[in-house]
Amino acid sequence: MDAALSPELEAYRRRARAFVEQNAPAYGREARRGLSEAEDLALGRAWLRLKAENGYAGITLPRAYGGGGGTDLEQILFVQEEARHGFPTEYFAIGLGMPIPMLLRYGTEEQKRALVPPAIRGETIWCQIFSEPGGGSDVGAFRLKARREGAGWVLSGQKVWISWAQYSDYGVIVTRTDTSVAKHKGLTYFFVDLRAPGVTVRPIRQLHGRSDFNEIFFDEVRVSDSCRLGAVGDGFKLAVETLMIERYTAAADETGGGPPLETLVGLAKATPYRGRPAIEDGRVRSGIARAYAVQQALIAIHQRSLLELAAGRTPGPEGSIHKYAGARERRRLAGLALDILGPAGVAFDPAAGAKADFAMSFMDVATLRIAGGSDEMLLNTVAEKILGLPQDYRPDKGVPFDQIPTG
Amino acid sequence: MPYLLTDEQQQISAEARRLLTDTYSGERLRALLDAPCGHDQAFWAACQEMGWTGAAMPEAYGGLGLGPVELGLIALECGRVVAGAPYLATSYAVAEALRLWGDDDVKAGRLPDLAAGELKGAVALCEGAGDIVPAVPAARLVAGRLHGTKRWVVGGAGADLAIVLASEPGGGACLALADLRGDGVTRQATRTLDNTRGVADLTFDATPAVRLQAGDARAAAGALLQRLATITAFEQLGGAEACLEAARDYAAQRHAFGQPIGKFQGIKHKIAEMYVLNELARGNALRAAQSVADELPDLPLRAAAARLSATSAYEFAAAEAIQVHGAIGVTWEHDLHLHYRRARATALELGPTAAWEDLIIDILVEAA
Repeated sequence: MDAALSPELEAYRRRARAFVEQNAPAYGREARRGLSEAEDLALGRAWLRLKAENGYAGITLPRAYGGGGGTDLEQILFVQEEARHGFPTEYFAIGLGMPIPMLLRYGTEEQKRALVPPAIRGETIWCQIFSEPGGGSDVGAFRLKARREGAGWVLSGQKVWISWAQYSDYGVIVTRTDTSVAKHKGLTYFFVDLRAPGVTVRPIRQLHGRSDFNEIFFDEVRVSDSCRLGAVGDGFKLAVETLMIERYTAAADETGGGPPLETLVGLAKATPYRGRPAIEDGRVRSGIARAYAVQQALIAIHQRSLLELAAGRTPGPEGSIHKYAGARERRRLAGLALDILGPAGVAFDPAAGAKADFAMSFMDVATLRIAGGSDEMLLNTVAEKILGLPQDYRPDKGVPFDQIPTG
Repeated sequence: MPYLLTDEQQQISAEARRLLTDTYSGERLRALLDAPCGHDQAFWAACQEMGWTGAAMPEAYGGLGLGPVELGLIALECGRVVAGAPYLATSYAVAEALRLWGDDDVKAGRLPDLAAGELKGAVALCEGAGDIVPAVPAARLVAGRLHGTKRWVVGGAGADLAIVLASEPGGGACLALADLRGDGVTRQATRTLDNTRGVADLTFDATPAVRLQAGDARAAAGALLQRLATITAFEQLGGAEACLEAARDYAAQRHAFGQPIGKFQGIKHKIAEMYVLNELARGNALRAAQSVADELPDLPLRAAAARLSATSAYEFAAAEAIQVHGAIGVTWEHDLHLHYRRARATALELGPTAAWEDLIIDILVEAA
């Protein structure tokens, strides 16, 4: 962020920087070193509580519910400062980013007062329960069943790839309430208590050995109708709305969540190739220079979005390429870094962080290319929504859900 | 405000697009391809009339006093219509050289005519294949007279003035301003991938020239290349935008196997990828122009990033737009080869791509 900001925002950034720098030793990267995941989570809760006490948790959420009452820009500035120090924020980012804002939009006053403040203080964690074995990218294909029983609903079925559900107390969920209508029309959105009888959360071990995501089984789980968000049949609309909330505010990281480019330059200087530093090799130089150009472009695009927001305008659609382009470059760079190391590149520390370690970055980026909209879905969206190309061939379009072939 | 276009800047873009779209003629451009070293005179006349020839030149010398962002936006629109002359960028670079390193006489004597487009400029650095900036130029400036040959000079065919990199007695190098209309200058036009770029070899035989006070001449040559790269990045982006739009429009209306080909992901993802590369190129081009405007020390990094992104975007868009069109795309009659040629020509004119990559790496290594 070197773009011009108003004096008020500059002052906000200075205060935010002072706050995170003051607390980095106790809660940041160094403090986390060697902790078990349970200890790390506890540290994360403590950090979130401290932020809440200082107005830096749920920055854009209303003060009445424990939030900071701030703007998108303030949140972006704070997250940029916070990201420098490796704080344990990952367990809470999804919950405060999407499910809680949805509860604030569609929940009752009583629900909001009871549930939002503890989430902002880190006492409860919320997850987003969307994907299923038979539908991830295809949001309209969800089939986990919710049937009416008395004044409430009964949920049965399976969800999968749910980040941090193993630590979550609540989640927002998209269910199938009507199979006789077209697939987008028969969905309904709820929030559920994951401690309720019949809910089983099972962590899934990922390719890098850790478990960020889970499968969740719902076996005749009773849910009150008061936990329904939006109208019956509006689930698709709310699901898309959920995914759109963080469009501009999600932390913009030009490395796509991998190690910074300086780390690679340092590694290429320190590693020999043909008796000379690898950084003198043209292929290495080309790879790094091209990644630099992409990363700088992502910074430029992000800065322009911020300035648009600051000017009260809607940022252009080009921000939507960030994850796609960032992840691609991260994959290339991680591969290049390991290539430079040669046989030593095979070393793998399952406890390493993706922002500090190229082997972990390489493993973990495989997830990033799928999570939150796969590369292919993103290209479809660019082609159809931005460029106006005709929609893909979709044989299930308009067909009642119970007549769509499965397999 | 950086990166966000003001109303005035958007108006400049819109006006340029309207005018250039109205006067576009693929036929005229194809005719120029057959004649080495011509340029589109109607286009240049329009540039003069609109004041674009002096867009980023000082008002005191008859320019519009706008900045590199505005000139870039005009260049973008020129790129969209594959404008048949390179002189907006090359004359700007010459004017910058005079503004930065010329004395009052040379500024007063030359800038007004450059701003009016009565004189056209070119930057003559290269002496052969490979590096664009020779380590030790064979061209020499001795007692105010130039000797030697500069090769592959973009705009050399039609330029009236040239900034020439030359060695000096005693071992140093300098930048000198030569008048190409006088005695002692031979131009050898060359057939090139894109003949409208006016590429020519310039041979000087005791040609009178004015030495500029440019300090380290190789660094100064680099500063001019970075300005050219910045403006050219906009031109490349404009071309890439035109290719994207041509591919999209064709994919939406052309049917095969019972549906528009734009429904096939093999086609639509190609076109979406053009969008991704173009937006990356736009981000870097705007940032580089801002660095030129604000005279920021990060210009070498920004200009190199802009150049790499814009070159990738234009080459991808031009090649894949042809692919989307199928066989009609490889005919002489279709305009796409104008872009395919321009994309390659603009990728080469400012030196090997590796040199721009090295510029970035040298700075990053220094900082690490």
